[in-house]
Amino acid sequence: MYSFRPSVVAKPESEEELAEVLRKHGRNARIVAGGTGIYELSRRGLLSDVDVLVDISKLQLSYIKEEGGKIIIGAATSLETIQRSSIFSRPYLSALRDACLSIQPLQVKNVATLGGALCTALPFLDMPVALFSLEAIVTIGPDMREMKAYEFVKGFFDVDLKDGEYLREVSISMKEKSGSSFMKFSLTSDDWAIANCSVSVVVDEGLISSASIFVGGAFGEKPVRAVRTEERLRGILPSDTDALKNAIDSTLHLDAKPETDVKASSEYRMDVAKVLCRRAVFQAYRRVMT
Amino acid sequence: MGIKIILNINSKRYSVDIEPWETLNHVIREKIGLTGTKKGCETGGCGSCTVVVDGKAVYSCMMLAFQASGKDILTVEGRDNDVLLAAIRKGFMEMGGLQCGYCTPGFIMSAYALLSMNPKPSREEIKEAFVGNLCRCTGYVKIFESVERASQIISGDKRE
Repeated sequence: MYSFRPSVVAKPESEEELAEVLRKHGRNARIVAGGTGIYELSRRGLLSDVDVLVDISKLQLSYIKEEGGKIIIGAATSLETIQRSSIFSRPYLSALRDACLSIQPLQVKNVATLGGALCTALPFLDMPVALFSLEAIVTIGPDMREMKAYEFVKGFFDVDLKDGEYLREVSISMKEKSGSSFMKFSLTSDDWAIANCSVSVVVDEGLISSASIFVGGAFGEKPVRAVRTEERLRGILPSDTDALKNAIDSTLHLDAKPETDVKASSEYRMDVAKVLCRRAVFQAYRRVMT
Repeated sequence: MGIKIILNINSKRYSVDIEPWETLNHVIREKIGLTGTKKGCETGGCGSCTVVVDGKAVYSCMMLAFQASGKDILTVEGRDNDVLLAAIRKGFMEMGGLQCGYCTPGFIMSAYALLSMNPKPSREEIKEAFVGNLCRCTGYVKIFESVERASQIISGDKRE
């Protein structure tokens, strides 16, 4: 059953060495960040081509910095560190903290990393959805190439990394009059999401002036941007619950097409996503207003 | 094939030959022979494999052994003269915080990580620390009481 049989562990001392190892071994090398996803991936045969495991613990990629109007998070920063950092209680960043809090076992959060969650690129993970809605930018080493986190994740288990490249850090620009919120629904405390939704809104004179909305769970190969819902929400007063409900109920299904699987039917997932979206928009709005 | 690593477990150094894919749980149990740490779901949900690495509770089934190389690992067997671990064991015994006992090593290690950071946790804080540990026998109340008892024992020790 196991096809995960790497023969070597490389422990680069510098980012140059890391890039060298990744260039030399290409697809056969894989970075181990927290390592919490390895079992789930390997038993599905997704790591059968891996021969070299790359231990990045010596590279000091765990940090949270505030610089030039941006919050910068090292790729190897643990979810527990993010959750504990007071920076993420700011309204515009709260979705990331919500996403960390929504993952329950401390034993996972103590080791699982933000970069690992992005690079694993499974459509039902929580951190990517939150990062997408916050319009996070990823920096890719060694050439410090930058791109939107949403574009970095290409599809199921697929990210935009060429041989020799690695995810170095994630940055989020500070935003005025903005609040965000992440919500998820899962069957048990340690299960992946049936549906999750992350929302970031900008508020002007009490009304939503723009919104960024992403839905994950099983809505295709990667979380989906609800563009038409974003457009419909412009100018809405979220405390008008009927208007909010109508805006979301009439648009979310136009962009988000859920799958049916053993856990939930497509219809059920869609219903859950609409409820989560409504609550997340309202909470994001309330966070700016209070 | 295989690599040699040093694992510091319960303040003892173990030099072990491992394969890169072997989990910390496998190496602790099968290669070092410390079978107090259990193997349960292997997918990060049950918590019976919990050990403390550098002061934090982790699932030993979800960590590869080489990742723990050079780190300070604590298992339920414990180190000699560990006052906190002794207090937790006593708390579990006095309050009856176990029935079949399979989950207990994991609960004890999660409690260890909690109490070493927060010696007087509230009931809510105890519940949060145990979200990643399942017990199918006790209904949890006696486990919470055991940790509260351990907390009393250590604060009593400090007064003396």
